[in-house]
Amino acid sequence: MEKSNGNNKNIQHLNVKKRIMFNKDEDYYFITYNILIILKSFGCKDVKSKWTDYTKLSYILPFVADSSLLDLYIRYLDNNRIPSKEDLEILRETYFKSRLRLQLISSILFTLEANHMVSLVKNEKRHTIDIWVNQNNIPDTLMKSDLFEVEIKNIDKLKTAIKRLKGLSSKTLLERLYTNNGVRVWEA
Amino acid sequence: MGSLALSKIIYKGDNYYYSSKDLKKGVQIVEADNGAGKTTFSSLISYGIGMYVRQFDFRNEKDNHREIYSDTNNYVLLKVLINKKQFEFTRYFNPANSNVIFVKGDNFEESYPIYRNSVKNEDDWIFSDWILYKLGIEVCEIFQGIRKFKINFSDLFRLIHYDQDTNAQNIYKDHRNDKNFVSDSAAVRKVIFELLVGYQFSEYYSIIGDYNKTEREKNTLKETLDNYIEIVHKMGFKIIGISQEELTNQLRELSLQLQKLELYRKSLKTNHYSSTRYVKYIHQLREGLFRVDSTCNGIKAEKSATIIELRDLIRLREDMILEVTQIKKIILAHGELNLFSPNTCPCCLREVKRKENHCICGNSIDESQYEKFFYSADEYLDILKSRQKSVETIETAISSCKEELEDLNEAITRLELEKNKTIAQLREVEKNITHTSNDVELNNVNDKILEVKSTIQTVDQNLKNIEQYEKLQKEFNSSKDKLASLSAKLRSMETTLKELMEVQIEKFDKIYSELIKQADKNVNKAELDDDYMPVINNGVYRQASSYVTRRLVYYLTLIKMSIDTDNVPFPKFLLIDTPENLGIDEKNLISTLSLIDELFINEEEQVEKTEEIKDEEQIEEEKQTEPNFQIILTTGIGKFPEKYKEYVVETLTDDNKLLKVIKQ
Repeated sequence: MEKSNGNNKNIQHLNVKKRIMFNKDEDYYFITYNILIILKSFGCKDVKSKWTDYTKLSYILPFVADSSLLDLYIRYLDNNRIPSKEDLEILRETYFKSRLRLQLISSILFTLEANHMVSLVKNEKRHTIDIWVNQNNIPDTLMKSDLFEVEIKNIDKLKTAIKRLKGLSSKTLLERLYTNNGVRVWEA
Repeated sequence: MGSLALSKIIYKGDNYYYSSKDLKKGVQIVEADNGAGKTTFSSLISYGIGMYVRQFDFRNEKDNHREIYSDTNNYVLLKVLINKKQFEFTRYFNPANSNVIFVKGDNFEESYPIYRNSVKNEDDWIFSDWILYKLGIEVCEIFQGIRKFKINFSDLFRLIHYDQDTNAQNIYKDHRNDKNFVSDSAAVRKVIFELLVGYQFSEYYSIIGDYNKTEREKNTLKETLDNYIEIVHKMGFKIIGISQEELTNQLRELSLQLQKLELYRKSLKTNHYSSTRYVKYIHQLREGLFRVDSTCNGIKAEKSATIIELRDLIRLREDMILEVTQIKKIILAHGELNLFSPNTCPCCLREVKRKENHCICGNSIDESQYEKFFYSADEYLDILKSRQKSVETIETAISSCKEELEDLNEAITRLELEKNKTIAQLREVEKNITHTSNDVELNNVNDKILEVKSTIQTVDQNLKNIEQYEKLQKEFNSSKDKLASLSAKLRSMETTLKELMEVQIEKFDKIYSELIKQADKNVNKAELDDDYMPVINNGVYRQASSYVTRRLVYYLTLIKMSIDTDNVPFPKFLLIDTPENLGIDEKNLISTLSLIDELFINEEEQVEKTEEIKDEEQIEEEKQTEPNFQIILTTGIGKFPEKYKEYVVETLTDDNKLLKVIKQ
């Protein structure tokens, strides 16, 4: 979105330009449906079953959306080897994107909260913002569509790969995902 | 030219017998009462000389000669002088044998068939061919349209035999078979006349015959040549466009190569191991190996680069496909949730009330240029389509990448094989180096020798083909040349002949008109038309009796020409049968027959004229011989000029008929 702002001038063919500028990673709806699917798959439907720390959503989102990335991650997790240069690069890039997406995700979550699709609650104890989905306010056609089979499958794989994902701190998650694989992260 | 004369006529059967007196040259008259055998006499001559005589054709039972038909074992024997040489012709009457004439001469005895249809081979002689040859007249083929036939003596005889069956308005004796249009056509009659009058004509017609034969030969050769080319082509050889010389050179080079190879082989066998050559050989092999190896490595590097490219492309395609499915989900989410619009705040994502033509920030802006942060359903679909299109493009790139990879693999396989071969050769060398033999090289040389030998064989065969072809070509060309030269000869001859004929016709005209004016005072003009027929007084009608004179004088003119001029082939012989029977009055007949005198006169003149230049021997001969022509005339008793009485050789009456009964 930032890029399209910068290119505000000299627009002659708006549609073409918009098409070229399209980046699914930053698309609102792309982020939205992934978050909703993740929350649904983890059964976060009320305050008891809430998802701890919404920032983790941004980090696992790429692995849910891209099977090959997930497979790559699982491959190194299994054999405890340091990823090759190319794969390391891929992981690093994924991390950067996830990190940069945080702000966008919070905006989207606020919108969703405003539309009563999700609920956000401040966790004083762990200093996080936790989240759950209000399934009644989301159309069934979206939540139960066959289209998301892949994502659901990926989430299941991820669950097996990383235990207690719902309650994990973001720090631990980042360790599991990146630091253990040789990707440095900025979080303290 | 040739001359023909009879010296005796003999008939012999079981019941009848006849023997003429000895006949001399000059005029010989047989006078007879009607029914005493005048016609029998001339018929016997005709029959004996190979003519068709109707009353002697005993295959049917009509109009037969009574006595001869009833007789058995009967034959006619003619004693004949041809160019002063004696021959005897014997011909039987029995239909089973009547197609043969037995000819007997000095040290010579032969039998000839009479009719051409009884010989199988076209070139076999019949009697006519023999007698024409003796008379110096070439037997020639006459072509009319697609039909052809050979001139026979019987054709010429039509102007030798003055018969009484033929209508006097005609000149030529009637042809035996009126159905044959060709042999009695005006053209053929002209040929007969030309042959008898112009000495070069027989040569001309024989060349025509030759020409036709050569043309046939040429066509056959042409066909053979064409067939040969086709067959050789089918056998897989080439003839056209290759010269014999080229092949011979090729062959020489090949045999030289073979010789060299054999010499080399010999030296390999005798010479033992040469270390420098061996080292060189190994060096060569190693160099080759190195070269192949380095090429192979280059290609392998290229291959790995291509593999990386392919992997990237495949990944890109997968990403693209993934994105397509994700966009589909986005569209679904957009449709179901419809959360974000151009009026969504980019910061808090909440709905804002935006003034038209103003941005969210409050600045004025063109609505169409308003940068929307959010996509509508249509726009998402557009993006989807473009992504799907991209997938197709990537697919193409992938397939071309795969092709390239296949090519590279192939090249690598090929190079590996080459490498292995070279390595194997090196191993071989290594193995043999202890034996210090040149086996490998020897094998190579043997292979090469075999190859060269097989090439030599092929070239040799082709050379033979070409030789044969050229031989045929040569034959064809020579036949073509012969044809051309014959054609040229014919053309030049045609001109000469035309002139000759004009001269002869002029002569004929002169003699004919002189004679006929002498015999018939009413004639003031006589000449030959284009068909060599005499036209009297410009063709004005005259009484029927005058035709006897017209015809008889024609015959006399012919014989006179042959007597006067040495180069006229007419055989100086006439057989005149009862000319008075066709309504000519006696006075005219006598005056016409008196013309025979002219034959003697002119001859004497000629003898006198040429006496000076003849040597003594010849003069002697001339004096001793009789006249050099013969006219046999059968006629009624006394129906000839008084002065010819001395020429009467036989007088036949009712009491003394021709055929005498043999008393048993």
